[in-house]
Amino acid sequence: MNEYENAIGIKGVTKRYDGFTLDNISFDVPKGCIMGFIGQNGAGKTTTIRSLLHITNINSGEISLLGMDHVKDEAELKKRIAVVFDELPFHDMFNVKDMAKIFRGLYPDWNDETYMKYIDRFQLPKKKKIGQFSKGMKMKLQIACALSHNAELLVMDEATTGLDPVVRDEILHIFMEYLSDGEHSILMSSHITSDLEKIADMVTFIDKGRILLTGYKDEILESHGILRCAKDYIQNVDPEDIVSVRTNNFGAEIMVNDRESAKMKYRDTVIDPASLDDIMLYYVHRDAKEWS
Amino acid sequence: MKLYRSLVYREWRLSRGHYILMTILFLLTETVFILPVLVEKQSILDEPSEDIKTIKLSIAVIALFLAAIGGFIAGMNNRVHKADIASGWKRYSYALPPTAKQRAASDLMMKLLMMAFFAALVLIYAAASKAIIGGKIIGSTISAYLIISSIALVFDTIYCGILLMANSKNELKKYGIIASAAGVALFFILTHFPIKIGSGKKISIADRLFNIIDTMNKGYFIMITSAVFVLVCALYYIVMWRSYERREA
Repeated sequence: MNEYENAIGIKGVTKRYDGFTLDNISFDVPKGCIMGFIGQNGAGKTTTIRSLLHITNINSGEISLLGMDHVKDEAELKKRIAVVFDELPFHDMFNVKDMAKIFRGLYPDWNDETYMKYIDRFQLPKKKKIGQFSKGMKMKLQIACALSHNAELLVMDEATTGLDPVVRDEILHIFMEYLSDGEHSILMSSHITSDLEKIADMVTFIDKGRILLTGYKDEILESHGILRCAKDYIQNVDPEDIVSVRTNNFGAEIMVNDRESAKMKYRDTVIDPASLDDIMLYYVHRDAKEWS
Repeated sequence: MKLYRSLVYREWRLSRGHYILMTILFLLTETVFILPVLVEKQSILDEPSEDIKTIKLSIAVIALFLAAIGGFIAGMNNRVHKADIASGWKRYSYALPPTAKQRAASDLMMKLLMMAFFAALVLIYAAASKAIIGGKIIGSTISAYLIISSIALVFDTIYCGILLMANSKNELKKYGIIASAAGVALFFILTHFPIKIGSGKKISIADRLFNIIDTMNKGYFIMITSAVFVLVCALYYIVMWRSYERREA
């Protein structure tokens, strides 16, 4: 098995569609990390994931997975990665046992014992047809399949969307266990930032096909803040410090990109910590001078 | 081998209902034709030699008819690709270890397994008929089976080649219609395209096939049909391989 520093390395990737371009994006997911990939619907998350899985060809750039080229070494690396989509891609007529029979031959490292352990843990019926499963059960089955062949990298596209908080919490807990040995990595795209806030080590923000921000979650959360002030105070804030300004009837909320420095510079204001949701929201509106 | 077993198992589970239904229909048809031969075995053998010749010819034609049905069922589309696109498995399969070549090979394996199965059913009738009333029947049955299964496989190759351009449920309808239209067009061309022969009399390829059937028992003809069958299988494999290699736009 090869040694690698980054489970995913994306460098200058461009993918053009009619009406949308994934524009020269770059980010890395270090080995052992869980990366939250955040963006609103249509921002380019799914296109990025499809590009790195070679579901679609890219126009330019380089993608490496587990230290290997995503096209040249495709056959080898797909034995070592797992994918979870937002919709279950298995046929309705199959049951849990059928899926084990299918995956047993597809993955050299498939482990029936691990699979059945997850099935029992998720309390999934073994003989019931998948078509009769609820959305939560379908997602659990997909995750059980993804985690039963010792994949080093788990790529998830909106996997927790549409699930109730109890199921989401249960699934996030499983991911934490999966990451515990430092040998596994996760790229998890979602627009539910609360999930990523709980488990992600790193986050990457994407909007309109461009990466806005990428880095360690704690650093990003620590560096950003919401400065609350009166509307006429906005002119006192250095434009370099501002991500965007949200105005309302009571005043203005300014997202600042260096909270500590802002605290020193604007002592007569209140600067609250920002959540990932806030950061996404303010960055999405970065082109507007003011928004409400 | 484990990988192919899994891929073939998956396809078999998805198409099992289709093939079981087709097998039942085929066996019913075969029974309808074989029963009179079994029941009237002694009286047939007591007929004057001229009548036996006619009966042998009828039985040979029935064998060709069964070979045509069996070959068509084995070569026709089993709707697995359509189900794969609709369920999202096609997109998901790009993230799985099997390569395009391995997937194409497993598709071909499934086809060949079904072809071998229906060939066995067809040959049971031919062998039973030969055992009861004699005559040269096996060679023509094999030839007919190979020709019809090759034609069915050509239809399926075109159909799948077009259908696999669809990447999602939304595109399935569009490509499904185009693929079906291509199949109908090919059928129309094969059955209505006039061919000039001899005095300039026009006949369809279908009519011409009936003339060819007379020579079907000859060894060289079986060799030719076998070679055509192998070529069509190779074509099917290449089209499937290229289709699986193709990525979404």
